[in-house]
Amino acid sequence: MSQLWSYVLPGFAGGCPQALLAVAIVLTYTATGVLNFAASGQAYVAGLTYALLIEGGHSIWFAAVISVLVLSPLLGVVLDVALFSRIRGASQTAQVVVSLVVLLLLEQVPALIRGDAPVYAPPPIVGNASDVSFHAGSTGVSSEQLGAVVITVGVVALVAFVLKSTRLGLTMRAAVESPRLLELSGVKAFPIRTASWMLSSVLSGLAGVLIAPTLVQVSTVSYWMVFVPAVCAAVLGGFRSLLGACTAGFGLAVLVSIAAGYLPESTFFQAVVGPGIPFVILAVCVVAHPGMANLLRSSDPLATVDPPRIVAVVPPPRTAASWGISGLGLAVAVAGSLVVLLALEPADVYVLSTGIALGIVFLSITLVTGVSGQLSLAQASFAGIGAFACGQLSLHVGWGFFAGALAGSFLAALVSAALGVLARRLRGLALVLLTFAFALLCDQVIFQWSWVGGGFTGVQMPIPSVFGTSLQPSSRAFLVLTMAIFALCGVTVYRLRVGSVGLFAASLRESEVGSRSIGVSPTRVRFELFVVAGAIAGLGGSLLGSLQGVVSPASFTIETGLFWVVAVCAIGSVSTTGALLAGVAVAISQQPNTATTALGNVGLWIEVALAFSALSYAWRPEGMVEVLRHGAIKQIDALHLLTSGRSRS
Amino acid sequence: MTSRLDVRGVTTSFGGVHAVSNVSFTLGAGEQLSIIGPNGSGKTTLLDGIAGRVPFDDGMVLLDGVQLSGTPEHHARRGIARTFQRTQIFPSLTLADHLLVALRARHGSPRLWRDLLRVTTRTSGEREAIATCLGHVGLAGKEDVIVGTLGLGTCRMVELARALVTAPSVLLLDECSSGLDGDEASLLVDVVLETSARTGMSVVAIEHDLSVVAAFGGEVLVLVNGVLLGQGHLDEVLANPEVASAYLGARP
Repeated sequence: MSQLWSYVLPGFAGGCPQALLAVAIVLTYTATGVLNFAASGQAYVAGLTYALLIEGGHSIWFAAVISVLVLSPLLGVVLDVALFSRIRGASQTAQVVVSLVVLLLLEQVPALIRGDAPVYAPPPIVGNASDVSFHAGSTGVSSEQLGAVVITVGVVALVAFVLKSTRLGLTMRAAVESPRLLELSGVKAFPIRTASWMLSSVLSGLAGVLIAPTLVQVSTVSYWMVFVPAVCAAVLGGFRSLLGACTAGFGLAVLVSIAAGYLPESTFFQAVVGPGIPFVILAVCVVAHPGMANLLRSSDPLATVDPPRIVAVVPPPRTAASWGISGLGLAVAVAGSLVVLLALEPADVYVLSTGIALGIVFLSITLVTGVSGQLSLAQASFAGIGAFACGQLSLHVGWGFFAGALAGSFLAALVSAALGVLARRLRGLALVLLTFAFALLCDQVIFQWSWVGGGFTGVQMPIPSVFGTSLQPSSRAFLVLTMAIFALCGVTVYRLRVGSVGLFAASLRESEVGSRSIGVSPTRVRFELFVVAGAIAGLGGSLLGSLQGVVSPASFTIETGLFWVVAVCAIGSVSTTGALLAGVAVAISQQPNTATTALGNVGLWIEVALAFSALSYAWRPEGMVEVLRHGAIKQIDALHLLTSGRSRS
Repeated sequence: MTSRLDVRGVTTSFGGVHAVSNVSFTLGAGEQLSIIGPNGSGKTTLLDGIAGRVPFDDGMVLLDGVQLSGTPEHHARRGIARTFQRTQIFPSLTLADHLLVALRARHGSPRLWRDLLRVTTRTSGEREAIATCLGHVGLAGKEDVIVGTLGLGTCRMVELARALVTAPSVLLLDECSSGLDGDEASLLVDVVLETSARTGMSVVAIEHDLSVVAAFGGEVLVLVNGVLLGQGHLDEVLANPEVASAYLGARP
């Protein structure tokens, strides 16, 4: 029994931040309909500020008040007023993309401002890790743990009291049920929304400040590890119950602690199975929870008055101008390829090859997001599966690059098919959550297994060999190979996009109810596109790995995957050109020798610029490339009309 | 002789509230049936159930003597087409693509490999079917117009054309004249009746506008609080004091 307590109590105390984050996620979702991935970033910013203020010589209480009660609510107001209130009515996919952008910005901007100097763990708000307050059996509970539990339970009780028993709470609950009815009653819903954002931001901030002292260094990855069980707890609470989410947050922490404690020590289970428990629970919750398939349905009786608008990507009519622009694009591509092949230095050739290989992976995002209208956060994981399979087959079986890449692509397709079967009932937010859980499972568990990800040293990748000649990564021959594979995958994506499957997917994207009424099966169309996307990502991953020489778990992290999605959404998720340009932009931003200017690292600036550009996804989901192309066609058509009118007169 | 559509004792409830309670009716080939009743009386739920969008707790629906079950897409492929009270169109697709999706979906999902081997262009048969159908609904020559740029009246005709192009056995219309002016509504009714007479398609229409109900002809079914209150020709139904009280608000 005392052994059980020794797992339960630390688990309960460790569950405080995730319980708070879970409540914050549910509060934001119910009040605004946004699944706020940025909650992890808000917690990180508050934790970082707390640690930096203490490092700067300020008192603990001053640092806590500034971080939690000043900075966090301010951040909530800014996010609502400047961003989320402006995309009300946008699709859930668009809202998730925007929250991912905010997350990336909250993680990148501090690094841009203060560099990457480490920030060490600050002291806790209350108590000390080494002071034992009391014993439960033979297990000592530190004053830090006790303080965290008291603060968490007190704050959640206060939030519950405000929501249940005050006028503000009543109005907030009414705003959750139906903002339209509330406004018809003469109460403005806008300040209530902002108040919800402030409150949830305070809860996220408090979670961040409670996490910081438990770490060695304040890093974004540590906050991810708390965010996952928090999302899981929110799912268990059905994204509606604050108390349910809070209880589930504590319960999951205790469950993971007990499971980790009872798993046999120094065995495969403790090393491998234990860390994966939260992600598996999240995946199981998303698939099995009856409410998840209906996450899109609104309980608002007036929801049909202004339902989420469909941002239709209306292509310009096929005029002479549009053919001209396409022809010009092709000519520029051919001329550019010739210049590149003849004139570029090996280092630049390498960057370009990397960009095109990334473009191949990004074509999988084009299929899932641009064609199917869904959002998958696991495309980097499929790329990783392809790369690791290719590398391991080369290492252990002696397969060459091409056989390994095909096998990797096949394996990635197989895994995406398995995930697709699990996700057959899911769409929108639920699919985002499932792919998020899978990506984290790969990042934190599966890729960490040495027989998959090669451990600390990674996996040596094979180099392609054509007619007995090895293609070196910085050679022009390798560049030609990446171009050829991109062309092959690009044609595949293009044919699917303009063919019957693409037509069906477009109809599903714009009205699933209408599509099903004429016989379109959403399950089959989305499944097929998801599997092909997995295969393309796996192939691109192998090529990317071969260019890098060695691939390790760090090559395909969840953060990398999220940034890739944001980059594609910024530049263009509906066309092969968008995927290619996004690949090149990301490749340039991630080169280790990217120029450092007076303003800081150029690569980091490119990432921040891409993130800012992706904010426009809510209004223009077709992305920058298509917006520019459509604009050019309109201008040329207008000019043509003008000149033809003059010549007639 | 087997009825085209046979609805037997269907019942469905949401959280203890009976939306549709033991409703039965039959409809022969080429016949029309209008469903009237106050808002919230279960008309759309009944239509959703027939189309497979809402499962019935009890009862069954038979099409040409064969029981229907499964998802809306299965019902659609078996020959049930429908339109919606709030139009469910695809704003970024052209009129021709709307009809093309419906034509191809009627015969099942597309083969992925066909798209991969070569771009599936419209066949001459598909082009002809689309042009003919658009001609019937008064939209001839507008194949390449983007539907998102059209007004409500035209969108209703597009939705109707999308349903008709599959040559359905039964057409379900949910308040198809809502938001249309008199001319547009009568054009829509004419198209439906002409198609029904030509192909033997049966029609079930939910309507609030009694002039449209009269134009459809056929039997009228009155639904109040999910219960069948009356059935017969429009004049007979309106003469029923219970119907007048529940639907028109008149004293019995």
